[in-house]
Amino acid sequence: MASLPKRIIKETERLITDPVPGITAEPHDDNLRYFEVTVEGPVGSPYENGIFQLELYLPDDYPMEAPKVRFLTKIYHPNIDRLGRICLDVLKTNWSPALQIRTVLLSIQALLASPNPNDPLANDVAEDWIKDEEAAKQTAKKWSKLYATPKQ
Amino acid sequence: MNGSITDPTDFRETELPLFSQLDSLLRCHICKDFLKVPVLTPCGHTFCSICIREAINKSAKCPLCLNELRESGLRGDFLTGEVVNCYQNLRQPLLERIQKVEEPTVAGSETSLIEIESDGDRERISDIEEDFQILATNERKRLPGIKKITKRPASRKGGSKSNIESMFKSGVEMGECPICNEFFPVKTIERTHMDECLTRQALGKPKPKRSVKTPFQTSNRPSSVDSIASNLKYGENGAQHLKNYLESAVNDEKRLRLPKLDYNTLSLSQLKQKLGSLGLPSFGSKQSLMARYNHYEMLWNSNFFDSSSPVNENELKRQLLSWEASNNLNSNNNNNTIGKMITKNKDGERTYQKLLFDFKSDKFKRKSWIRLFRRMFQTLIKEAKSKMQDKATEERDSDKRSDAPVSEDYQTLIPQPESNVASSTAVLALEDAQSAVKTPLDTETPSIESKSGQNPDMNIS
Ligand SMILES: [Zn+2]
Ligand SMILES: [Zn+2]
Ligand SMILES: [Zn+2]
Repeated sequence: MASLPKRIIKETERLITDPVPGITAEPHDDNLRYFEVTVEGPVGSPYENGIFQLELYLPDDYPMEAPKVRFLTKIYHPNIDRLGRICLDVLKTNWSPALQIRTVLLSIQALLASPNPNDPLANDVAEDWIKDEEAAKQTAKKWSKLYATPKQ
Repeated sequence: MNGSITDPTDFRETELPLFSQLDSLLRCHICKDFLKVPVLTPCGHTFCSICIREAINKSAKCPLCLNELRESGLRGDFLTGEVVNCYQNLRQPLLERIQKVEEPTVAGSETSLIEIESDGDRERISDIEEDFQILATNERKRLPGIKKITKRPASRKGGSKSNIESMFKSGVEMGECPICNEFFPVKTIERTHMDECLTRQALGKPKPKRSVKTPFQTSNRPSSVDSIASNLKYGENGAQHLKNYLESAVNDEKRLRLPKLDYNTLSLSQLKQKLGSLGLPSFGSKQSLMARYNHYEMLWNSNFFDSSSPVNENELKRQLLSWEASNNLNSNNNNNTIGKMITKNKDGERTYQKLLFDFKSDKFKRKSWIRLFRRMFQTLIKEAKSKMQDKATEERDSDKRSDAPVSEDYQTLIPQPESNVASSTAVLALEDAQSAVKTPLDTETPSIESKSGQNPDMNIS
């Protein structure tokens, strides 16, 4: 049975009435703790023009515990692995209950704008990135076109 | 009004969108609601007592700046508490008065000390700025992660200089009225203004045209704060917040802080003993006993050390009970829980489930809850009575009960009628603005009709 604290209701309301530019997040009909998320690739990054699907889940302990977020769209990024799991401090050790869904999604968007191959989750991608950044960015661009282009 | 959910953005489309920042400042960054029993951390941040204690249990850091933080470092912040309470009373009438659609009121057309920004878009930007700012502040504490997030635009200047200069020129000795916080010549305050001000508030009349105002010279008070406090004739709502603040004081340590327990070195029977000595029930698995103690410790320390108007132990136990029921702590394999006791009765079962659900879905209705429990409390009272074979006169005297020795049951939880109503500092985060709370329960006849949970006024969505 899902409990829905006031804070979650509020956050949801604001996400819908006052969305963050380039980001959408909508709760699932059956489970108000489960959100379908899209993030636009930041301008100037290899992910530009891509629209990435993510899923976000608020655990029972939220906001004492961080939301669980995962990319559903395939993406070539040193801090995101094949399963779409994200290596981002605010989702792990640096989670704080003062953060919220908006801030998490903004951080993810920022991570797309500035990948950090020195703290990798996807080791092979990180290696490529360090070896030849330009080539890696080209691959990222290609993947974005291939997997993250909205169908009409 | 669509329920009790309010948001700083409610001020966006008003004459004074800057209020959305004030509204934001008076909220807790953990629950995003207005600060309830606020506490100040050593790093200078303020949260609800319960919220920050819960957060510290998870991670001993300040949620805003990530500095290390211990529960023992928290201090109750009475002033902020009363400011928030006062603001909450003002909020709705204020919103109504500064709605843009209405014709400008007298107050709206006056020159204000606050710089008016009518541009809604700028507020929108500053909202996202706030998100970024929290991230950025936290970021300084972090390992290298995200690099630059955003540049904050140059900060805007609030306030204006106009009135201040003219004040200096006038050379009148000014003082601040402690009731309406406006500035007047000290003599006026002493002679006539305070009386006027109190009467006006008691009658609920609007303020008259102000005289000059200045943010300076606040020290020129007519007399000491204490004597003002004792001389005030408080109206119904008039100076209540001021009074609360002036009369609040740190706990005189009559009571001890409940310590954290080290469950690794504590046997089950020792744990039961510990709970028993606090008058708490000792049934349930070790895990539920631990959870029970942890939550009670939080309620206790928050209530007796952070709150400016602590409730008594019985009320704390009632809060613990509500929390346990809503968290289904014992529901799995134990027949001895309150929930189970109630659900033995068929009608009770339905009502209980409904209430439990409402509680979780934020539609909790306290009146029905207590009504439901009243039947059970009465049964418990009867049992206790027949066991004790004692004088019936003790039943109402529940204050003494709070210090009663070990109890195997929730017998000590029998709520006193006053404490049901008066828990102004109730820690149940769910019930704050719900109107149901305000109705005195004494007049209710005990009943567990299943329709009790269906009043339309409790619906939020
Ligand atoms: Zn809070
Ligand atoms: Zn701090
Ligand atoms: Zn006054």
